[in-house]
Amino acid sequence: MSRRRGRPFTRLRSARLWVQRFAFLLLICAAFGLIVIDRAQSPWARGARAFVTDMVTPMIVAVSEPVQAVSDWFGAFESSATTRERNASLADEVARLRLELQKKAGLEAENDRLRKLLNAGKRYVGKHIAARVLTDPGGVYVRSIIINAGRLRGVRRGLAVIAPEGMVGRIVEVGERSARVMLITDLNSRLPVRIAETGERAVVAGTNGRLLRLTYLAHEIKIKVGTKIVTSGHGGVLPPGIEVGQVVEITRSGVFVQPNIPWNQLSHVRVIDFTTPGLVVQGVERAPRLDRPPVEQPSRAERP
Amino acid sequence: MNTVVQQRLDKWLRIAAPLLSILLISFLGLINLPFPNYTTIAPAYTLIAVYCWTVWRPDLVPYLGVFAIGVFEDFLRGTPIGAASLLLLLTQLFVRSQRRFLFGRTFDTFWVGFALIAVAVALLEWIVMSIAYGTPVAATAAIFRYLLTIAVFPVLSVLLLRLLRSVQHHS
Repeated sequence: MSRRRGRPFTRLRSARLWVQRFAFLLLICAAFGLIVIDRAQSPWARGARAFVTDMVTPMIVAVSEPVQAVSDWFGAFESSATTRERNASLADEVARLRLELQKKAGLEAENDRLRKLLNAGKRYVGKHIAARVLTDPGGVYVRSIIINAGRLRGVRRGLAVIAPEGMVGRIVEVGERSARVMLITDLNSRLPVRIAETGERAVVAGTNGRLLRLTYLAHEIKIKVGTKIVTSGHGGVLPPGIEVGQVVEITRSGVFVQPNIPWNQLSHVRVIDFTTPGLVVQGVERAPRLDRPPVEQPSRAERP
Repeated sequence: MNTVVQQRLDKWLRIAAPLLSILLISFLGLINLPFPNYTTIAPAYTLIAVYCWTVWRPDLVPYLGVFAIGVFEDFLRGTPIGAASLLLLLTQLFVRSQRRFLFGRTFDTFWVGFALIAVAVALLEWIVMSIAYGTPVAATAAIFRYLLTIAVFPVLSVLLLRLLRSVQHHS
């Protein structure tokens, strides 16, 4: 009787010994399994990653603050000549931007008049959510940033992220208070674009390097260094006409584009929700039904 | 009673010190330093910590702990989940098998040993990432990262050695 009672314990102990002996192999298999699950775009993996990022990012930010403060302190020691030079350059830029603004206002008014004549309705500008770049945790093989806007502020997976200089990337993971942005330079990034001058369509792909590769470009299209590349707006996620960069290299291996964004100085971005409410767009998470209105209200203008 | 609790806590902290220090280094490695393109070529601090502790006290660095730290790092970095765990576990396995050539030797041997293991890990990482992304990924940044990791190794290993001494001194 006692022998029978002892058996389960003996089995348990032998199972434990077996697990201990093969722990390494089991963990290696688990690591492979996790890689496969992650690459299969599992919602579980995305959710777990977003949860951990949400929890840990505030700590990273808190620790980063002193580092940033020291860096700013050293940065404050500029010579007066440099400060004067920078002031002059900024004054020039302000004057140029004022002129551009006047020109833009005139063009917008003209555009609205013409649209009214054609009965096309107003242009849809989408909902904009301002966010701060919290950290850039990537590494050698990933180009991503974490921003301080998440589900609570209406951010959803698939939405576009821009900066004043142009296109930054797209939201790939969303936590409650933070979200991860895959930059346009990431190897997995694909962006529908058009050539600003001719309107020809193409796709820019990230290379994990500083340049983007222009792909799916028709052979007969003649392209030259300096050509501007803008978003095409195809797919219904991105507003058309956002600057991506300009062509800097045309070689046998392809056409390469230099993004406009100064990555080392990127501190603030805007998330654009350009999808029509209620419309399901491929690659974009469906908008949740909110009992209360989101913080930023969408534009009253209608999509044509 | 208080003394007993204190003693237990002290013992537990000494046992957990290697894993806690690896976790802390992994966390601090995520902080951006204000240098141009720093995040792209940031040294592999976690690899240095795992190497040092596995040579000094392999009994205090369990596979499961290293696996969990790898998953934590992948979660935050945005790399395929499991990739860092795989690399750290293989590093540990290799270091354990070669420990007799590394433990108790001069610092130069210890450093050269790390340089050799780090190059194997960098190559393996490139292969894993290329398979995970389905295309050969650019390796230039990985080469710079490797060189920076080798350069940072003496500083970090000396700090960890101090921790090891304080842990052993109190035990």
